[in-house]
Amino acid sequence: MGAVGGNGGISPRIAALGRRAGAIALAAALGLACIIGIPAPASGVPGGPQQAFAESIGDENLVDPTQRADNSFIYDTTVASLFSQASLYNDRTVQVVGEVIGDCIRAEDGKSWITLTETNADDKSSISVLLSADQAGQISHYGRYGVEGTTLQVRGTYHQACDEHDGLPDIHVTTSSVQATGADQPDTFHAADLVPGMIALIIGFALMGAFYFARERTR
Amino acid sequence: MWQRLSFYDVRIIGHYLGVLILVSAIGLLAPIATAIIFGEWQPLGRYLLAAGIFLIAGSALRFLSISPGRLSRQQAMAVTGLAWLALAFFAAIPLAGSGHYSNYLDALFEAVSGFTTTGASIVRDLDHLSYADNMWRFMMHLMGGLGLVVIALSFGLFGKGGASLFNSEAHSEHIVPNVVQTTQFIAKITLTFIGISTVIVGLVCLGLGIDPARSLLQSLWLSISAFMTAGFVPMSQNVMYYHSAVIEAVLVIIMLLGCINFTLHAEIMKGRIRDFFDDMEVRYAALWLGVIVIVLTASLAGSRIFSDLPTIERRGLFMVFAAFSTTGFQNIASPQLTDALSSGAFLILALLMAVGACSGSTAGGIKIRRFGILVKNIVSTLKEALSPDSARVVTMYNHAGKRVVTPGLIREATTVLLLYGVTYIVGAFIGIAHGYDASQAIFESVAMASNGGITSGIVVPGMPASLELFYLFEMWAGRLEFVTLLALLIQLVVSLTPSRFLGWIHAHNEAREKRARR
Repeated sequence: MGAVGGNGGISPRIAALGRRAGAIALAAALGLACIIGIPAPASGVPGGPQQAFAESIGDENLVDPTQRADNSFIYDTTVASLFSQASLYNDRTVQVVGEVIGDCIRAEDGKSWITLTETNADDKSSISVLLSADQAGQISHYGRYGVEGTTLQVRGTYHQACDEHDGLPDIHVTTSSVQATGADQPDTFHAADLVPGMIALIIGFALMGAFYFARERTR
Repeated sequence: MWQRLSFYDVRIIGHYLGVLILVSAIGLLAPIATAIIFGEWQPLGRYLLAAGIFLIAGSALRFLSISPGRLSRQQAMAVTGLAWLALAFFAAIPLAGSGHYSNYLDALFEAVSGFTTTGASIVRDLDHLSYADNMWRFMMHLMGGLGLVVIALSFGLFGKGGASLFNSEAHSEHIVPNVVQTTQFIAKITLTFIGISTVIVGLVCLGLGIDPARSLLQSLWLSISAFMTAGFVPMSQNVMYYHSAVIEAVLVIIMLLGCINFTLHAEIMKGRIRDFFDDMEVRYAALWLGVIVIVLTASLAGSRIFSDLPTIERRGLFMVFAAFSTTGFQNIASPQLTDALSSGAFLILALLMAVGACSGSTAGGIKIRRFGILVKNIVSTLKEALSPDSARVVTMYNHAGKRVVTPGLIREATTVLLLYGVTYIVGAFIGIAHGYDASQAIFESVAMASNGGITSGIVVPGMPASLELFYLFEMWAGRLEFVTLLALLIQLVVSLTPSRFLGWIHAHNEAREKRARR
């Protein structure tokens, strides 16, 4: 069987007219889209980190002047993501929120180390955060048993392995703000909570005594 | 023919198991006192209940035999093997009630990891764990590191059966002829080093701005963990939390002291410094560490992140000592182990844990002494091959004086080496079968069976239960160096097998022997 030509037997003139009509229709559709304001497709990697650009213009501009021109975005992320995508965030400005736990530890040049832990209950990743004495002064509660620590939002440069601190993964903070002050939640004494233990102890000691008597009788 | 346990054996084993459980209840006094001092009333209720359960179970088991006779070697092995598991079951009860473990199995994993001084933890939200719960975690390290039997013997319990128990708990030798004095010496040395370390680390913590009560507790816990070459830490950031090179240096020294044979501690205290440096195990350990440090430095220098000298010195060397001593402290974040370290450096850490440190210490792993004995055996074989037929080659090694490498020593070293090797491999296969990366599966299997405890990210809350159970077995087997555990398992299987089947095997064996004689 022989090969069928180009447009299956339609003459070249009619085909050229058809192409022209198609081009006009496409141009009209694009023009209409511009007029009614259909948004353009979003750029960036689907599911990737959100890049927090300047929230407002002027004094509130969030572009970090100490960063390189192509590296000045602020990545609004989580503590867990800093570890799971460490190379992506390395040496970039990040913004994370977490609970302050443990203690405030003295660092060099009057600065302090704190530990910020993920607020997500399922993943309690934590990271060392270096901040100034003033910023550390904002923290009223350090999380531990019976204390819910201050929830702090910090913004600064993340290092997967900090050169200044011998390879420690850390954040050098530039700005911080308190999201929630935290609270003391001390245990309240309920005598009833101790009753099962006391009963078990009494039975245990009674059995010990019974064994002692039984052994003495066999001698 | 395998020896079966008689009902009399079961009664004796039950009695002494009860004694060990009662002795271990003393350890619960520490979390109870901590809970009272810091007003942690909810944990106090849990630990009082746990103490009651320990007393009831221990006393009830003692009733199995009111006046027990002397323990035989087989009975001693069964007591020791069962004690490590039974105590973990009871110790997990207060932890499971804390709300920091997903289920009882996770709490049991933590307790086995604590007693076997593995130090791998699957606690959730460690930073909010109560002081009482933390105190119990570290008391488990203290009791497990010293050895449950050592603690009981140091109180003068068990009488003449103590020597069998002592040997069954993977203790290689008696420092002084009397086993009770040996255990008391071990306890004194341990408490001395932990005390000194607590003071130094505590002062540094105070200097860092940590409040006095937390400084005292954290320094005590870190010191226990370091000398017991265990690995639990009170903060989720591990040793990195303190941002202190001084604390890391002190911990390295304490870890190294913990992985020296207690006999050598005794020799040093007697002023025989030369014996320490002449010791075969110390020399092989120094050589092993030297080679590893060179290889690791070269590997890290070529890596993308940890390549500058201060980082190699601080992070690399600390990890070398933590892995060598099978302590399991980390001053590198777990994700950094796989992301930032070169694959060579990662596997070197696994190799360090697999080999372990000195025998007769608190460290885990195969132990340097066994490799030393096998090297001596190779030398001996070569000497024999090159000597006249009439010559008798005797190979000596140094350990508190000259000793002969006997066939028994070689057999023991080969057996244990093979058992560790097989366990490492089987654990790695099981990890791979669960879908984990091969290098991570190997690393984690070695970390569990060697009681090293450094984790690359597989041992986390929510890990598969089947894998968790196997790791639990690896920790238990590794701590008892296999022989005691396998002997116990064989005794149990043989004793529970129907006697008709055993009789059939016996008759079959006899018939085969008769045929062979003809």
